[in-house]
Amino acid sequence: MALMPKRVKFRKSQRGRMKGKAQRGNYVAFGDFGLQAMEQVWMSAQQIEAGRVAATHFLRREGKLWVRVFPDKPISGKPLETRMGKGKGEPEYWACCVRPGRILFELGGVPEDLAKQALRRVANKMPIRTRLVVRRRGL
Amino acid sequence: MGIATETLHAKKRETSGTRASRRVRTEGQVPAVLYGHKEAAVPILLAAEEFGEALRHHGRMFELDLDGHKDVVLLKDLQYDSFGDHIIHADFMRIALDETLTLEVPIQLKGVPKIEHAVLQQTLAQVEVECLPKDIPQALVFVVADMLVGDIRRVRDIPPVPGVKILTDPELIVATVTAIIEEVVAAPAVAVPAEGTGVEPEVIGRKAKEEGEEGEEDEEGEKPAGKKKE
Repeated sequence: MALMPKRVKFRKSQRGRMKGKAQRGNYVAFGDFGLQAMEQVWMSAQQIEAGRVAATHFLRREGKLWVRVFPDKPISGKPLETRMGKGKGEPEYWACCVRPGRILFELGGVPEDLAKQALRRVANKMPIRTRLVVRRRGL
Repeated sequence: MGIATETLHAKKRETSGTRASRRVRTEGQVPAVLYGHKEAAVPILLAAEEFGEALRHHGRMFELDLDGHKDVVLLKDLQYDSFGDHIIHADFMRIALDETLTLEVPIQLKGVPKIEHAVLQQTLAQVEVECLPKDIPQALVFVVADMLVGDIRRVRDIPPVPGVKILTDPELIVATVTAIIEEVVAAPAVAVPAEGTGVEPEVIGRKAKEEGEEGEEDEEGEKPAGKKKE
């Protein structure tokens, strides 16, 4: 089942803006390799799940995968063939606001070539351009 | 590491703030700050190319030539841009060669444990150490090749380095080898709703009764107010 919050304060949220670059979550913090977003997007829970499944199926029981994004933004929409007005639509899916620079997934405990292959498969499931980054040691 | 060998040439920075800093970055310079030894903090400018080259040699101690006045400095902090590609700011601290320093040093795991269906995790990336400038280690090397599933290595297990005192809590875990539990996907007890009709999370502070009322209102609200045009 796709990710979504357990409890929320409000059922619907405003759209907000996606200007700027990722100021947090923009470095590899847990694993050895990461997949970094190069564009901005509302990444849906299904897309995150697709990425996670792609990596875990490829790696089978090797390495550890960290999902660094969580869909906490309800995206609402109106049903088809509905006239405008009558208030805001119902929540359709959950998304995460991803800005350029954000680390989406991290991988640890596997050699570099295997990590590259796994993250390339994850990248193919992503709706944006991404790149592989390696954890920085020290300063 | 050892005594400073690389010399960095810097000049005083007259401007400050975001815009001025952006401008100097486009000109191939890196804004930085020099402080320590109870002297005033001085905003400085470094040549990005020279600084990058010096960093590639993995140095943290440098001789900083600030308009002819030379200081031995320690690179205290680096700030990167959102993509982690470019250095946008650096912090330098003046040091004396006969004075002990407190700084953070990375832990480097060496070797690959012979394990199956398990993963080696490094939970602590760096430790705080106290040492003289000449004794600053590049990294604290930690051999993990002999680790087995369920093994834990703590800060106290780090092999001692002459002249270096570790200040971090010795009980903190540095590396673990944990077995990977295969994910079991159980068949859902109820049919999984299609996208768009997903189960909604609980709304904090809203009672079940209110939700019921709103649901009724919604149903009424969906009815067209006037006669629908065909």
